[in-house]
Amino acid sequence: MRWLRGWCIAVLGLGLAAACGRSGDRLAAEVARGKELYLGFGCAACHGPGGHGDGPAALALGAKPRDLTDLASFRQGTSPDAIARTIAEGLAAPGLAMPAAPYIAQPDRLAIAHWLLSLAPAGAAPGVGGELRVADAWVRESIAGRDASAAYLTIDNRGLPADALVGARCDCAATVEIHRMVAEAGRMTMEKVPRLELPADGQVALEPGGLHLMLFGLGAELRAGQRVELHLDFERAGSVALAAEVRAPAGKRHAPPAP
Amino acid sequence: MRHPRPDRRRPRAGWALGLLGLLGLVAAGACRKADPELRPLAIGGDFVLTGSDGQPFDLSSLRGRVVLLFFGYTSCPDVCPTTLGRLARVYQDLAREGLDSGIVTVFVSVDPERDTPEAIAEYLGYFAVEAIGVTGDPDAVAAVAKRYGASYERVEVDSAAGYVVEHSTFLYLIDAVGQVRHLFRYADPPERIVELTSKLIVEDGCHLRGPRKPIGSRVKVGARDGQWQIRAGSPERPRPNDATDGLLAGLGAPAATAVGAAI
Repeated sequence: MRWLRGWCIAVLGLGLAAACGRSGDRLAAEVARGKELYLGFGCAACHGPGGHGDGPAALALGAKPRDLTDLASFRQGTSPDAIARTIAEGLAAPGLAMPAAPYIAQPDRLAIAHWLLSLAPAGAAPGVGGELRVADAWVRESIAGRDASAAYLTIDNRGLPADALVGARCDCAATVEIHRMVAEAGRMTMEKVPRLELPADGQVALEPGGLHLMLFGLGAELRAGQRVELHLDFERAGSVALAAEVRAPAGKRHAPPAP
Repeated sequence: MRHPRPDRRRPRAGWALGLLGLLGLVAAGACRKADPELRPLAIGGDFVLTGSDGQPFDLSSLRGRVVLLFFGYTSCPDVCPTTLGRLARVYQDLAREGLDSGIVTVFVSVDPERDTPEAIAEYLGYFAVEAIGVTGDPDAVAAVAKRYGASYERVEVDSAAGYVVEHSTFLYLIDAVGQVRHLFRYADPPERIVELTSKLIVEDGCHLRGPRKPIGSRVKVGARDGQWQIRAGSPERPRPNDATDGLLAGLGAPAATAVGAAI
């Protein structure tokens, strides 16, 4: 069904991909498409073919384009929407501006954003402009036959005012919720946390046995070594996107809830 | 007064001639639409400069294809990259209609001192457009620019760049017989360029010439299964993108060594 796949790839940026196939394949297709578009629209002339900011046009001008494999270089945030907006609007900076590229269609801009996110080292969002940071993000390998898994990470809010994690999304799952393991009458159970408070100047760890992100509706197995995109929505800091690796967990396991 | 008596054949010949004439007029009318936006302009014309392969490039070799031509230089900070970026979008949209092979882009360097044919070819290779880069003797380039009504001026700047070249930003739409039909402004969006260019591609179908393979072309863009397929760069020379093909296998960590080796 080649025509269907082509149409699906074209409309992915509009978020209508639910009917079109497995999540991991969708992201991989978007990332590959984003790379083609990044190269085809000449971004590599300044930012280099690998996004490191080493393109020949930049060297000729003596300018310093950002190393896009470092998430800290995204001045306006790391979420695909923020990256797409920066591509469309350009950046004015002392020394040299990045020209605006509104002629790149929005779905194409989002695909480029997904490719850039795939270049960053997995597991960390270093925080743009001193904003909150995420570290040690990883996703548990899914258990065969189970349509759910969990993600763990550490949110570093040190030096910043109080915030809250109010939502999360993953390309790998239909729904993501914040959950907490609770010991109740001699057994462990899970409860949904609608809003995770992040105290000012503090750190909150989501770890096995405690807080975690539940990923529901995987659609495809998650195997160790894969990469997924995690999007975290904070009340104050806004949307933060980062890549996370899938790992086979060591130590204590807990059974995910029945779907 | 004598009235010559026509013989039997003459009326038929007369009718045939008249019909042919009428058909010719109709055909000419279809081929030269009175579209005010596409009326031939009294600028431009053929020229011979040096192509990206170092060989002479004659604009008339592109007869049979619609040409988008502009003046710029490879160290241009914004106008030229965005013009090429807009053209990449134009190619993307035309590819969906299967019309992308009907156009070719010509980039004329107004910085012949720095822009060697190789430098221009490499620069154009970063964009998914079928583009021919030309340069030449400064006087020859100046003469061509004058005929096209393009102006440019070298301006010294206090930066590592040394100097910039301020240049007019028109994008010239040239039809399949070499006439300039429209001047796109820098602010014209890709949709506008696609609109007029497709009109011209369709119009030029009546010139009964197929698309020609241009000399010195360095980039191949094609449409396959309705998808825009990009292969920026010359097949003969390894392009930076070739090195990154392995990068995304399995979405693994960036292969920094592979990229470094290519550069």
